[in-house]
Amino acid sequence: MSSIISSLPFDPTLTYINGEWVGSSDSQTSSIENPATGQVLATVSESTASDLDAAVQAAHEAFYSGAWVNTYSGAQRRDALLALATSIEDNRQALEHLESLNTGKPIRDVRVELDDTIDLFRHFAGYADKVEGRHIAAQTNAGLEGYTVKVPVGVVGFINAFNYPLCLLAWKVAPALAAGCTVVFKPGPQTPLTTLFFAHLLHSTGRFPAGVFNVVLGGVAVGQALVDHDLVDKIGFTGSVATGKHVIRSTASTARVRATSVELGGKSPGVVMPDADLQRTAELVISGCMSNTGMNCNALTRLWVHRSIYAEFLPLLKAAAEKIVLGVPQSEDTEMGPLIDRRQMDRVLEYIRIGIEEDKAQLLTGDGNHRVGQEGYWVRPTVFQNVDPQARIATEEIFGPVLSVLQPFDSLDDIIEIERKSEFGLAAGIFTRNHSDIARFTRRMRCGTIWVNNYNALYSYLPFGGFRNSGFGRELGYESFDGYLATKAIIDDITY
Amino acid sequence: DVHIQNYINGEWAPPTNGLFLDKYNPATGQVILQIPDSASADVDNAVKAVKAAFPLWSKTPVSERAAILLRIADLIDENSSILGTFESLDQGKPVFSAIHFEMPMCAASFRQFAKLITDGGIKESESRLESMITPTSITQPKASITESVTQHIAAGVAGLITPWNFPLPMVCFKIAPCIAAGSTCVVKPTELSSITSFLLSHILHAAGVPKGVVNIIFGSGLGAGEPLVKHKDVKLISFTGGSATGARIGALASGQFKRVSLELGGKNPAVFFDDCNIDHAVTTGIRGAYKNQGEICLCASRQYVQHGIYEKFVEMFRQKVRSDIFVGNPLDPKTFYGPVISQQHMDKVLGYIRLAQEEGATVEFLVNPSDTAVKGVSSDGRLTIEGHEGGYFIAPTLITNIKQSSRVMQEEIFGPVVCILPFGTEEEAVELANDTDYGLSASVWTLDHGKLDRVMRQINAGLVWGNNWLNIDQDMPFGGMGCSGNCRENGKYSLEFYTEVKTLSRHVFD
Repeated sequence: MSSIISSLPFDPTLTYINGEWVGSSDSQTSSIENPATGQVLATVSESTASDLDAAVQAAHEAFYSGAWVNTYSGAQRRDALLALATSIEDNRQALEHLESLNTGKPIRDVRVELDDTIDLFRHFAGYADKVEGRHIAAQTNAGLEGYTVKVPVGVVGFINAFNYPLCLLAWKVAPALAAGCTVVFKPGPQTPLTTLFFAHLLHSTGRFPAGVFNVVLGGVAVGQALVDHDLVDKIGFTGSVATGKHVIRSTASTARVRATSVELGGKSPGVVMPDADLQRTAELVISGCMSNTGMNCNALTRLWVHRSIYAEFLPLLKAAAEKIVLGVPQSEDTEMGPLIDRRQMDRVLEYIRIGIEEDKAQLLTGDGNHRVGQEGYWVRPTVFQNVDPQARIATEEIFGPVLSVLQPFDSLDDIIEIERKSEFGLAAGIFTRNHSDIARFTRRMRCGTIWVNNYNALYSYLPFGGFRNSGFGRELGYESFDGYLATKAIIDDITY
Repeated sequence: DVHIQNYINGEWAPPTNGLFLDKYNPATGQVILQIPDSASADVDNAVKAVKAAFPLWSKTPVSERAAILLRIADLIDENSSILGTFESLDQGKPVFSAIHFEMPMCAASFRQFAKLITDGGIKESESRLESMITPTSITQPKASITESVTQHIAAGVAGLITPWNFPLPMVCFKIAPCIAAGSTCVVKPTELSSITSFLLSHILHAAGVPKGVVNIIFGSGLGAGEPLVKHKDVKLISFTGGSATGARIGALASGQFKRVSLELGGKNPAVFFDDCNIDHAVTTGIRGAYKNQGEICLCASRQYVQHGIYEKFVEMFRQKVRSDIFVGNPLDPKTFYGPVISQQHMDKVLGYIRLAQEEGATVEFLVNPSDTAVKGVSSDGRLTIEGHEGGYFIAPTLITNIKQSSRVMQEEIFGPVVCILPFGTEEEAVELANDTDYGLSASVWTLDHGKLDRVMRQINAGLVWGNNWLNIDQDMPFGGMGCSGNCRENGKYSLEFYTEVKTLSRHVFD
């Protein structure tokens, strides 16, 4: 067992429910791996249906008792979240190290994620005391005053993905708590450790009443129990399209209807126009695809390159991909880590095989041996060229370091027509200086985020989310905060 | 056959002093009618009526106010030919533009504000339930919970003073938001172009605007405008006009704590980079220089062209003005622009032309050789137009090789005179554009996306255009920086000016 695990300030074999650290009610456990080595990193508990029920009951009680949203005004929730942000900041090195061990992320990347996590809690803390309604005097009937009041939605159940364990926790939990909701949180089964550390920090601030934030651990069974629980008012889910659809169906089949917000997959396109700065663009594209080892729902995974620059551009892409440094994640020089687990690695290798053998696509990088080493789940950055836009590797989400450079194109408007109706609609990128091309692309593309001459830049104050099979609902920005609120209208006859 | 009278409390009457001012037709220099030379007594009567009308009007349900605004708009549309023709006669602007662009703008303004107030524009306010107020003193030792809500009410009696370059639109842009918000007003239109404001009084009356809600009195700035600004019962002043008058109004009004909105002049730069669409740029540069005789606060009176295209741009400019621009009788459909507004104003503009000549700049009069109406051009650019020998016509004037520091480059000329200078780098362009006491508008011309955005963001002006000019979205804020003014108008910004905000804060018992 790693020394960091044994020196954690909390017991990772327990989880945090109703303000207490408890084990699984039937002593179930699961092993957590270090994907860089394939070795077992830690053992954690696995929640049962009854543990899940206890967590939801606690969140429900904390919500309706007013522990979080009546007695605690917006200003006090704000201060609690600010204290939590400071606590995360004070403990960031330990969190970074733990996240890097659990996920295989390069330490340099994790540092940026910690910056984002801290910023997110501070940013959403600022919304907590600014929940406003609108007051509208009646148009025709003098004496009837109407106004709206925004109130928190209630108990929110979160099912998180494995690709940004702590950062995505912040995306979800910061606005939900700021709005006055209470939370039951299930991290991805492979990546619970920083979530547990977070719970420890939250508890240690002493500013979050018992039941306001709870963690349950496990896979499909626990997730299903959370989605099915009648006392949950809203479900927030990040994960695959298939599971997302299942979650949506489930929320309609319980005794009570509830809201959902789902952030699903993507197959985000990039477009390189003739006047792009080719070297800079090649680097942006590769980073846009390979960041987080491609395990990024908004990764740039299908690339359109204009015919007139195709021959000149591809060698630049190849060079940028091949110079990425793989290595021990905790090393400062490492630029890319492993995939999260064996299953993911097998899936990615299978797609590479599909690309070569079924799609008959031509490799730009590599020679067919794409796994690196025998331990851990390492796959090298892989780029295909001249890919048919309908090929499986060009249309299905791989969730790994694989880029399909499509056949050359001639007309931007034709590409826009294809991409704006594609199955997914999470993000897109364009590389050009031409103002008119940028205007058409940004206005006509139908996806949640459009990057112009950059990629993957996200901000706490700009909303993120999908169209079509990439999901609905928004995270980040005011729109996400508003998603944790419900509106009441009060109509009052003051002449009475 | 128009006989202008003051419109006070729903009735038309001559000024109490019986005095009138001569009004000249700028196309001929002849007196065409007289307007009341109103003074304090008329202002007092008008303000008294407007103040009396305020309580009822401010409580009139928005749906009724909106209905009246829509009727005004319809009446303007129905009468756009007559209104546009009189506007052209009075002001000198081409009749086609007056009828087909400017009159519809007037109607649109009333419709816009009718819609804004019924769509919840001004009634919407903030409510914040249950904010915790922390203990502040011995007498309030415990934290308490407070419920706050804002209330928006009509601000009161306004004095509206309007300019002569777009006479009726300017009056409408002010009256519409004022009465939409439930406030009432005394309007003192420019004495240099009063006819359409007088005709508007008949439209307002026919549309059912209750008596006293809008009063219109005619006269000079000193005679009628100043007493209006100083009147103790006028709470708000909205003025559009020259910066010098604006300064005086601001000074008079602040001493009485009035809310003042000043929309003043401009010396608006247009910046053309090598990679602009040069055809579009030259065409728009010409419009920006000469449209409405150059009598637009937004006119592009100083133009900077990057070295790489400078010679080509200026040559294209010259040729296109000479071939396309006709100066003459405003009622002639061929005319691009007519006379400037008055003798005094013409003298001012010619004065700047002579100054440029004295400073050694290159001054060209780009008269169209096929414009047979032009009988002569004086040495300082005055045109003699056949059949209109007394009119105040000035040739399309192009000035180059002039210093950035020249008064001609720094002061607002407000006539058909444009200066064009070259520039080198992006940084230089921004510096030149910002080297002014004004800050109303600017335009930037380049097809490079990043450069367009960077430069637009660095120019200190209230309204910055990219690859266009004079496209105004009536819901986006409009106003200037520096000597160009101190406020923002349009849409909800205009409504806010005529609205007062209160906060009602109630203790909540557990």
